[in-house]
Amino acid sequence: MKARSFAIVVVSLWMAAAVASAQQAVEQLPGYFPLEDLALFAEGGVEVDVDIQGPMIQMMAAATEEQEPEFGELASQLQRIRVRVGELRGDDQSGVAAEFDRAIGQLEAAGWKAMVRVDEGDELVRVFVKQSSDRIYGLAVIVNDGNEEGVLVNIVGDLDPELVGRVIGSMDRLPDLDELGIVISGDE
Amino acid sequence: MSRSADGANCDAVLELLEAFVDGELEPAEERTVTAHLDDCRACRREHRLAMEIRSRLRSLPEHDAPAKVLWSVRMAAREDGPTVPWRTRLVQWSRRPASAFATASVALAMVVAALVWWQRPAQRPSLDDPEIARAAQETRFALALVGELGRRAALDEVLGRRVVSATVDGVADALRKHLGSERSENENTVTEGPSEKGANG
Repeated sequence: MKARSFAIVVVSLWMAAAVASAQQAVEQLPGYFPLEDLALFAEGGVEVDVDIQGPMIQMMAAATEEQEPEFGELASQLQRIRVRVGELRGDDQSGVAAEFDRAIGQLEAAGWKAMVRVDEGDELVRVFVKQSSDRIYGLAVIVNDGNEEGVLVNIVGDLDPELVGRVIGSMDRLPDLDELGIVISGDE
Repeated sequence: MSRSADGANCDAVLELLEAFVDGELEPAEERTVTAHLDDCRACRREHRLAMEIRSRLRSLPEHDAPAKVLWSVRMAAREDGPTVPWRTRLVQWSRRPASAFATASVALAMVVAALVWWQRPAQRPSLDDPEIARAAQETRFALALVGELGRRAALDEVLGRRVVSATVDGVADALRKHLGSERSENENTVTEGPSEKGANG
């Protein structure tokens, strides 16, 4: 009886450790950036909070591989999609700006390269990429629209750059952007 | 001690009588008893009495012994009887044809069940599943956002205009409205008018 109880405890601990190591695995990938650690948003101000990872990504890849082979293949190379959109802390604008700077400094220190860099007054846009010579391990988007809103994105995976280019290139613009009534001043 | 004409001793015949009634005698003994009964009236009477007792016993109703009594008897028999190792009992059991057949049947059923399970059509994930469809849409948004910002940055360079920052407002608004409405209402379209920030930013 004691042996059986001991075996159950050992198996339970092993399963817990396996789950924990799987969780840690994504966080230890080079393309991971901890968006949650950034104290940017007002309390209750996060309006969009997307976190796709693990089995859901695998199911998404399997569900799209026939109808959209390239998107499905790219999805199969993903590990995590994280998007946060919301109202920035309005009571501490200098603190928010400092937090944006801190995030950018962390990414640059970790070897991320800025593909897009915009600084216009209070507006700030960065698109970072973490890559080797032939693979993309992560993409990070940091946006302060200068008008109380922020956008944070982290895409983690082991991605083929050409495939990323083809999939993103096939998206002429954000899906349904026109239907949403968004007008880009640059198009006018 | 009486002796009949066939020479058989009545006492000896009476000792065999119970076994005779039960049909358990050897043929020679049975012939001796039969011959004696033909000649000996006293022994015939004993024989009839034995047959009548046997008949009446068989006509009595049968009653099962109480479970407690049966259990006690079995335990006593087990304690008194020789102890057979479980491996020996298992081997003996497996050598019985019925046991071997039952074992083979169970094994075959398990193999068939395993094959059926292994070859069952896997339920393929589909975009008909709202959770998967939403995940795919959110992933497209995230990827498209990167592409859109990259394209606008390139336009910035070419046109020398503030295209990216204008896009940012639109993108943030689009993400917020689209993903937010999908998450809360599972709707695919937003019918609001043009965004002031996107139009004027």
